[in-house]
Amino acid sequence: MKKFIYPLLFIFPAFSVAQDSTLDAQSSFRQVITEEMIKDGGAFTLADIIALSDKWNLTTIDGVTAYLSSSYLSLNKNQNYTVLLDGQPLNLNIFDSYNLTMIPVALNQIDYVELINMPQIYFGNFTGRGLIHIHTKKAEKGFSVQGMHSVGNETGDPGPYKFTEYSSPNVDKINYILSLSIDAAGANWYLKGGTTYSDNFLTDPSIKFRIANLSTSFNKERYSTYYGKFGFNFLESKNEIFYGSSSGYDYFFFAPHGNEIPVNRIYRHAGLSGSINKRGNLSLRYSAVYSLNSLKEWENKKNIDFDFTTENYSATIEGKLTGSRFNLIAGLSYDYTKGKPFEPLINPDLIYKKIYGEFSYRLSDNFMQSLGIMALGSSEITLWKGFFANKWEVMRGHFIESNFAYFQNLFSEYDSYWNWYFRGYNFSEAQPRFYQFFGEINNGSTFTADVSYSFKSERFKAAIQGSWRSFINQNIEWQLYLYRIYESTFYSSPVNIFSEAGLDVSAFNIELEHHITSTLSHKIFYSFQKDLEGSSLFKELWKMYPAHTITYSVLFKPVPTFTLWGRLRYTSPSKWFSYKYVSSQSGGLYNKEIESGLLLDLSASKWFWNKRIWGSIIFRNIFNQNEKYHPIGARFDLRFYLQVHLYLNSIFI
Amino acid sequence: MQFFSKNSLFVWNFKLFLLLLLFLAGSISGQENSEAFDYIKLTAEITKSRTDNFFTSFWSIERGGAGEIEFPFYFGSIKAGLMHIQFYGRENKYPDFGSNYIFLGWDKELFLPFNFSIYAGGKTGSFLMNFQDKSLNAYERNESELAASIEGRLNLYLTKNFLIYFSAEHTAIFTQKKIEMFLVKAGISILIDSPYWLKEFLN
Repeated sequence: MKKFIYPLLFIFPAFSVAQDSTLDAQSSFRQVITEEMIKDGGAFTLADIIALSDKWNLTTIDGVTAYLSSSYLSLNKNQNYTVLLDGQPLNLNIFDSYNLTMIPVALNQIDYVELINMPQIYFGNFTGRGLIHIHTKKAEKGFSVQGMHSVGNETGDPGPYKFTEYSSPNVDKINYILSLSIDAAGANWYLKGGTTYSDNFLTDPSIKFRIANLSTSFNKERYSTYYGKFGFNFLESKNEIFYGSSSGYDYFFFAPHGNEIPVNRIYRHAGLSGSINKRGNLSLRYSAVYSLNSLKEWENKKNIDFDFTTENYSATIEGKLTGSRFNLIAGLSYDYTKGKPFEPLINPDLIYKKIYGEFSYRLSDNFMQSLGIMALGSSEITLWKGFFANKWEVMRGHFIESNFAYFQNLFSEYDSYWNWYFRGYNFSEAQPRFYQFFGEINNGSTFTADVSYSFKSERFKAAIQGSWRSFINQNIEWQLYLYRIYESTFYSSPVNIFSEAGLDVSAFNIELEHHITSTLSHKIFYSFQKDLEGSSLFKELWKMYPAHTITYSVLFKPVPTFTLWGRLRYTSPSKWFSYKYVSSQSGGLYNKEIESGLLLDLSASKWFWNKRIWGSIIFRNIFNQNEKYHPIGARFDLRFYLQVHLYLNSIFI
Repeated sequence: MQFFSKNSLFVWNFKLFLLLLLFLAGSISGQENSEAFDYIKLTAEITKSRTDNFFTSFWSIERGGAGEIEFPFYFGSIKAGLMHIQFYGRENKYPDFGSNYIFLGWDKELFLPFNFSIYAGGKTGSFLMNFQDKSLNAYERNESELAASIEGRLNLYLTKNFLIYFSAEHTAIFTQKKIEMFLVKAGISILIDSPYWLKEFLN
């Protein structure tokens, strides 16, 4: 009888997965990128780490600010994914932009990055647009010093030809990063502190002249971050106090304006988080965070300035009851954001209260189901978000998983410019913006369904996944960008905001990984997505995603201290509807279509001095293809990077 | 969709790719007799250009010299080094410049009868150019760019630890308008045991 009941339960919408179980160890909807994978894959920024996941889409204009989207859960102009650092939420999103470089953590401090690619409940957050959780390393006993330095160079300099008629623009160094951190730890406490400086020159012709229209500096973006952390164990609890501060001077692409605006970004974060160990079968987790996020003026030629700050207070407490066959999670979360531009807002306060619960039940040794529900209350309305997931180990090593989710979203829940516009903020610029609203702004909803089959043996892994997305009653923003050739900038038609837009999308991916020997493995990933029924404008905008993506990677590790890694990646063309006229207007400098490309990246890395020094050399785009991620973004030619890490751990114990 | 056509860098990059494949294949094919970092090979060489192309219509490539330090690796050998070459402008408007090519490389040696061996390898690094014209602003005097080379050598071991060689090298500097050089070289190498502390450090 059970044989029939379990598959029936499986197809009914609504359940997830108990946390601490052997079944949970295998999840197609969660990825973990470890320090070793980060090092092997030649990553040296947080965006590079996320790009190691085949299930996240990345676009970028300048090569520093990344626009990310998880598993086709949103248009990637909406940067609404959640980011946590050691359990504390980072409220870095501002006007639909999330600059990962501002996160106060150095790459060599990262232990692993956890990616949630499905709508689920994760410590007070509903991961309807995906979640990135950065886990940093624990301090080792005694006193430790760590450092990191990386620098890159893009090919294409004029070299000696600059003194001839064949001169061409200079290409400067890229991704200069310097970081230093110190740790001290005892039996029941630890202290960590560090700082990182990074800069990057924007010399690509696609953006250089546009930026020069406003910028008074030399196309150089720079960031500095500092952090301090104190952790202590008290009675049965583990607690951490974290303070981080970041400052950046960069060129913020503000979509309603159509161009980059020089800004000074400021981020401050102070948080307390921790857990109280199990008393019997009960445990507690908590976090309380204050953060300040600002876009401020950076001197520019036309006084087009931002002066906008948000202050955020958030707190979450979550309890977990673990039984022999079930887990029950219940939590409360409070989130208060205040908008603070120079001119006070009409309605500056955003308050959300969340109550949520998740019940996971093991129906048998090889079948689990979970159901999670979150109620989100604001001053105006209460919204519901829920998911239901199943995991079935059909036979040893063979899994079928599913995740079904339905969630509503408040218009104000995601930090778009329009949210603050309705509350009285008007971006200051010489020419006022024109806006048109078609229909009533409303609260949209999303339905997602994902089913996967995976197989895992000692030397072989395979996974196949089908996905469905229904975006219902969404507000979408669209404008037509036009090019002013005399000043190399864009202007736009009025910004149109359409409500009640919908779209159905289906997607499919397959992943095969084979460990040929203990030292050599390779992996291939193929993904296909297609927009189906929906609003014509939404369909056009969705074409920003390539239909096909194929990635093939090889990892060779002949000894534990030396690694060679290579990745070949193909993406089919993508079309950006908002830029449909720019090709003729810019004389071919820009194009609405991003061509397909075959990109080869290689890295070689080596440990020295009993794993105290690690060095890596990375080549990207070896075939020197037209590597571009945005119609008006830089073209990234063949480039190489050097990276060195220093780990002097437990010098004095 | 055009992957490789109209892309002058592709052909060279593909050579580099093949070399990297050779590197991988060499690594899988088996281990060397020597343990990694077991000995140090110190090399000094002189170079002469046999280049006649678009670039040499602007600058002449003079004799140069290079020094290398090389270690047996888990497969083949790895090396680091510096090569200096001087360039003279053919007209006054093209400033003379000195170059320093700082590189990392890999090679594989195949032993032949009569104390001969042949060697094939590649290297890549930063090609630093210093323009020697005092009228230039400071920021105009220096340039650097990625360079990559492939090389074939014929070695003759005069003793177990001393050898002489002749080699041919093709180097490309990936400036916007690519610079290619064909060099012939002659050099000497000595082999010494690695001190224990150095082996520990490198392993």
